[in-house]
This record gives sequence, C-alpha cells and structure tokens, in this order.
Amino acid sequence: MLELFAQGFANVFSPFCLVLMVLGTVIGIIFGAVPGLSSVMAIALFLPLTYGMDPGQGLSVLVALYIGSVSGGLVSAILLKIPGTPASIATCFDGHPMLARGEGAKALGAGVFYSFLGTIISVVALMFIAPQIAKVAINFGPHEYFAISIFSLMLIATLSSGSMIKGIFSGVLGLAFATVGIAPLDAVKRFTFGTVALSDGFDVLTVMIGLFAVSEVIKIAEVAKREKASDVAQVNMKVKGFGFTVKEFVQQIPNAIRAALVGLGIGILPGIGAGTSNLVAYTVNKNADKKHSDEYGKGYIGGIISSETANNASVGGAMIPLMTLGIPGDGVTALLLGAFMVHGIAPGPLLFQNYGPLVYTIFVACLVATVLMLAIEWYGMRIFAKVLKVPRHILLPIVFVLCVVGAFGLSSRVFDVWAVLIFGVIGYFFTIFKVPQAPFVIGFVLGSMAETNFRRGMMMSDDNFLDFFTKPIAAAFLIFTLVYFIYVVVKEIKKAQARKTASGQAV
Amino acid sequence: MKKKQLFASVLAGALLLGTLAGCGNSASGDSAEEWPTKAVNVVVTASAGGDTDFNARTFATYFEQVTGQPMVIANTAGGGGSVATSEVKDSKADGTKILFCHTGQMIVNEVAGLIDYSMDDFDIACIPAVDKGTVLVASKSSGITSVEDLVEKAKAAPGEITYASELGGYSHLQGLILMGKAGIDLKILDIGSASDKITNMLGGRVDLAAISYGAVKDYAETGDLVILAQYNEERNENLDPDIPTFVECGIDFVMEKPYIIAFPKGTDQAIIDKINEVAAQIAEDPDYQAALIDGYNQPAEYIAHDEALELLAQTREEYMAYQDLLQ
Repeated sequence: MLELFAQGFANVFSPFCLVLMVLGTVIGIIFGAVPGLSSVMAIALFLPLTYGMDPGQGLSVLVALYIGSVSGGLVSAILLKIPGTPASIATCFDGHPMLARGEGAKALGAGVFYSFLGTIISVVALMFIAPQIAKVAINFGPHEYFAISIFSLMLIATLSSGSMIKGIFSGVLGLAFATVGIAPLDAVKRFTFGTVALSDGFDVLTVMIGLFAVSEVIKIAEVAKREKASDVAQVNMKVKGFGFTVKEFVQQIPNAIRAALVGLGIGILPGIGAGTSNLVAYTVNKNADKKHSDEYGKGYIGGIISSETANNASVGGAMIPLMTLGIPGDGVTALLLGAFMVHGIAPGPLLFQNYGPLVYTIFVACLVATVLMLAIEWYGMRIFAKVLKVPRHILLPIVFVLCVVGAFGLSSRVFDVWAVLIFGVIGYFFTIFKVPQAPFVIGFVLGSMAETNFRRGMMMSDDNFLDFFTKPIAAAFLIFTLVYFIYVVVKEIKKAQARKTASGQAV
Repeated sequence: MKKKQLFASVLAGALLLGTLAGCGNSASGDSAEEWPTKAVNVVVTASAGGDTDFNARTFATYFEQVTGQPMVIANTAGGGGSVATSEVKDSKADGTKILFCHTGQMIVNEVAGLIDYSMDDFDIACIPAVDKGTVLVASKSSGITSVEDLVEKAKAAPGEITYASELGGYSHLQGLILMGKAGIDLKILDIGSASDKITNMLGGRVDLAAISYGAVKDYAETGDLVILAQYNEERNENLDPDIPTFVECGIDFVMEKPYIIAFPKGTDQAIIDKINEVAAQIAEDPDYQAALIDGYNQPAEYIAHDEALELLAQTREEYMAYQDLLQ
C-alpha cells in the first residue's frame, strides 16, 4: 500500500499534473462562487478536454475541479447572501448575519477551514473504509429511498421553527413544482400545457438561482439608489489564522463531527449529495446543539461549520460508491464515471485490484486538491472581500447577467432563462412575506425522488404498501419521521402556550 | 457628451464591419457543395459522460480532422431525449444544426408515444456507429446461469422473474421483445438508469437487466452478476469471447443499437452526401477505430444513407408491433 501511495505521489507531483490541478482548483472555486455556474457545469465543460490525457492526470484535474467548486459556493453565500451552488444554501443563514456584524473574515475563515476538514475526513474514509461502507449503499432500494426522502423533507420543513407553517408552505410549493413535466414510470404529461419545454420540468439549478440569486438582486434593486457609501459592509481582513479561536474550535468539535457524518452518509447514497447534506446537517446541529439552538440563523459560527463541513464531506462520500461499486452518487460523479469509461476503465469491485496505481493517484489527487483549495481560498479571502467594495448597483447587474448565462448554459435554451426569472419573482415575494426559500428547493429536489421511488417500490411490492414498513431500514426512517413530527408539534404547542401565558400576565 | 459620441461612432463602425463581414461570408458561399464552411452545431440527446456523448464526441474529433471545421457539441438531455429531437426538428434546414441520437430517441420515443412526430420528419443522413456492447445480465441471487436456464425457470414460474428497465424507454422495449421472442413472461419493473440497475441487482431486488458490458465486466469476474447473452447478430470479439448471442441460444433475437445523424427536414441533398462521405472516411481511420474499442468495446461500423434508411424503417416496423405493450 505504501508503495502504491508513493507511486500516486509521483504521478500527481509531476509539474504538468500540478499545474493542471492548481488551475482546476481555481476554476472550480470560481464556478462554485459564481451563482449560476455549478460543479456539474465545471466538470461537464472540462471532461472532454481530459479525453486526451492519461487517466491519472485527467481524473486529478476533475477531482480538483470538484473539490474547488463544492467549497467555492461559500464565498458568495457569505459575501452576497447568494449561495454559489446548492451545496452552500445553509451557509447563507449564518454567513451573512456574521458579515453584517463585521465578522465577515471570521465567517470566511471558518467556512474555508471546515471545507478543508470536511474533505479530509471524507477522503480518509474513502481511502480506508470505502469497501466496507460501500456495501451499505447496496441495501438501499426504492423503499429505502422513499423513506429517507420523506425523512429529510420533514427535517427541513421544520428547519424554520417559529414559522413552521411558512416552512411547510414553502416545502409543499416546492413539491408541487416538482410535479411539472413527464411523470415517472408512466410518462403522463403533467402541467406541460402542450409545450415541449415544460415536458422536462424545471431544472433544480434554475429553481435555486431564481429563488436565491435573482430574488436577492430584485430586493437590493429596491434600495440600491438610496444606498450611501457608509452602508457598504466593511470587512476587516486583518485577522489571525482563520479568524476563530482555539476555544471555539474545541467547542465546535461535536458540530463538526455530526456534520461530517451527515455529509458522508448522504454523499454515499446515490441520488443525493452536497445540495441536500448541507441543509440536513444544519438542521441536525440546530436541534442537537441545545445550548446554542437559538443562535442559529443569527450569525452563529456553528451554522457555517455545519453547512461547510457537511457539503465537502459529501465529496468523498460520493466517490465511495463510484470507486468501489461503479455507482455514481450524484451528477458530478456520474460525469467522473464517464471519465473512467472513456479510458476503458470501469470502476467496480476490481478497480483497486486491477488499477491500484490509478486508485492511489486519485487518492493523492484528492488530498492535494484539498490542500490547494485551503491555500488558494485562504490567500484569496482578501481578494474575495474586495467584491464588497464594488458598488452594489454595479455588482448585482453582473451577478444577474451571470445567472442568466448560467441558466442558458444548462441546456442552451431560453426556456431556462424565463424559469430563472419566474422563480426570481417567486423568491422575491417569499422574502417580502418572510417565507424561507430553502424548504422550497429541498421539496423540489426530494419531491421527485420520493415520488419516483414510491412508485417503483409499489411496483416491486405488487402494490402492497405495507412493504414500506416491513423492510427494516425503510421502517426505521418512516417511524423516526413520525416521532420527530410529533416532537416538533408538541414543542411548538408548548411554545405557543408559554407565549400566551406570558402575554396574559402582561395584561 | 463627446465621449458618448465617440462611443456611438465606434459602435456603429463595429456594427458596419460586422455586417460586411457577414455579407462577405454568405457571398463566398454557404452553398451546399462546400459544406461545412463554418462550425457545425451538434445536439446530442444525452448528457456528457455516457455512450451516446462519447460516440458523438469521438466522431466530432475526427470530423474536424477531415473537414477542418469543428463540431460543437451541445448536450441536451431531458424528456427522454425529446427536448433535443424537437429542437433540431424545428431548426432551419441549412446544415448548421445536426442531431446525434440513437434508435431509442428516434424510434422508441415515437413507439412509446412520447413524441408526436417520427423519423420521417427528419432528413436522416447515416448511421455513423453501432453500439454492440450491451449484454443481458442476471443477478447472483436469481440463480439463473444461462439463457436456456432462464427460459426454463420463466416457463416454470411465469411472471415471477423480474426484469429491470426504464418504463417506456429502450430497455423496456428490449425486455418486451425478449419476452415475445423467447415466449416467456417476465415481471418488468421500473428501476431507472444503468447504475440503479446494478445497485438493485447486487442488492438482490431484481433478477435481470440489459446493461453495457463495460459496466458489469468486473462483477462477472467476481461472480456477483452473471452475463447471459449479447444482443448482437454475431459475437462482438471485443467483449468476453465466451458470451453467446441470443441466436446461438436458440432465440431469434438481435437488437443492436445504431447511432443516427439526422438533419432538419428539407436539408440539401449535397450536405447529406457530404457527411456520408466524411463518415465513411472516419470509419476507416485506425485511430478512430481504436478509440471506440478503448471506450465502449465497440467495433467501428458505418452504414450509408440508403441502407441506413432501410434498416431504420425495418426496425421501426418491428418495434411498432410492441406499441400497445410499451405505452
């Protein structure tokens, strides 16, 4: 194994490969940070260029792009309150309040550091226990996927405690939008109004860009004219290290571990990845971190740590089933599978045996890309912060153009541009009425997953619904969902009663 | 104010130049005989990374070598490929936009009722390549060891053995034809993509699936999956040479998957002749042949215009027999 490692190091540390990887990481971070450009786009764009390289080099570049782009989203999430990719949605919740409080550097520092930590943890898991945990993924069939998507939906609908009704409203609306297009299995056309464009439904990226980015641009357009120079947030970049103290680091260890486990677990399951894991980890930590529960969403460092550790932990997580089973865990790993295939290599149970040097080259590439990401983002923080010095009436139109370009780039059609604009208006109304956007996105993503797997499961079980409760994993998730629902409802009722008596006493 | 004027005149100048350049271009002739005079846009019905994309991109690389003009690939997956086919169908027939797809989108989508037009609404140019890498695979837990064994077990327990497909798609039709030709009754399930099929077969939740050989060869070696047969007319020597064809197993069933290059209806015959000429030349290129074998164990094969049309019409007729079952 050491020998293979040495070989991997030798491959990655060739000048050509290193230059490519630095380039890949930088481009990845940019694709991650710019709303409208995503990890999948970065890799889809560069995949054909790697056809001509040798497999080790090609995959090293793609891995660098992947790791950079999943992390890069934190920059715009914190500085602009616009998540660069779905992986950084939860980073906005605490990142922007921290910036507003003048702690932008600390927020960025924590985001960068915990992205690093999350990736390292998942890569180590990939290296040492991949074959063992990969077997878990095989046990997940349609029944289990249905149960886990319902569980995640419930978790995230209650994310916005205090206005749970609004959270559920947002989530259900997301579910409704997910039904547009050709139905799973029987291909019935739903809400397509006879158009071809709608038959494919909406792309999740148009939903996200619209709800978060375009709506933010509209909102700021309202006030941009009245803005004074003094209103522009100033980020003090003179910080030591990553801006947080050793004491905070120790205090946050439980949060980081929980987030890493959630990220890894969700990454391993094919079909869901960093876009879901950051929100689930955020919710889990908000509930588990009892002492600070109320500080989440108001600029608490634990919120950033939850989101950024989890999304990067999903990177290694998604690589596990890809490399050990040949099963891609998300859109990006599906492309990586293609990168293997064009070189005549099919990832699977014999990959480690037949292509040992290549596997270890990829491991080393993951580690190197993680370190590169840390270095580039840390030094880049000062440059990123300059973005805030650009007047918003100049910055936001640029963001807006990029959103439109990104939407068009999805599959070169104008329909997606209109979709982004429409979701932008919906998102704008959401912010006016203080309806959270995140449950909408998650409802949209998990809605079609829940539906497809429900129908597949029913088909497999000859329409016997009870099968969802006789399969142990599925049953456990469904029962836990129910218990959690009751817990939240009871908690909300108690809260309401407490408010009532308090106001009663006041009168 | 002055600045603005300057800017305006520069802009006007640029526009004028642009127009002139544009005129010059068309004057020098976009005539069909000289096609291609500029980059050609190719709409591929699948996302990057799959077999269709791979074939399109490999073809495109050699197209540029032969003609000197690049093929720009646009991956337009979605709607089972119908988004891409509709886009090309409704484009101008001037040779600047080409469709690259396979029979799944060109024929099966029509048979399944997913689209309300057919291959007759295109000018089909040729079949630049044929996929010969698909094999029928059984899971270890099914206990099925060969095609003969499958037929025997299926006849003993009709509708019990499960077959993984994407309902309404190419793999669904593959299953239906297998049932028809072998005279057996399988339980067809919707499982999803190739990787979903592998996951569910390894987990023992489904018995059979048609999958690309490259994706399952490791599992065949470890014994977790059993390869039963290949769908080709003759054994593809780039696969494991011991995999029999269906015909050898006593079932008269061949289902190779041709890739198709098509233009919008009304395209000049000269353009269609030209791309046939180019495709024939590419298929002879040893580097191109090696790339296909490296990627998808696929021998190079090119079928020219007339023969391609005949083959596709025949295929369509054959598939139409399963229309009621597929919809």
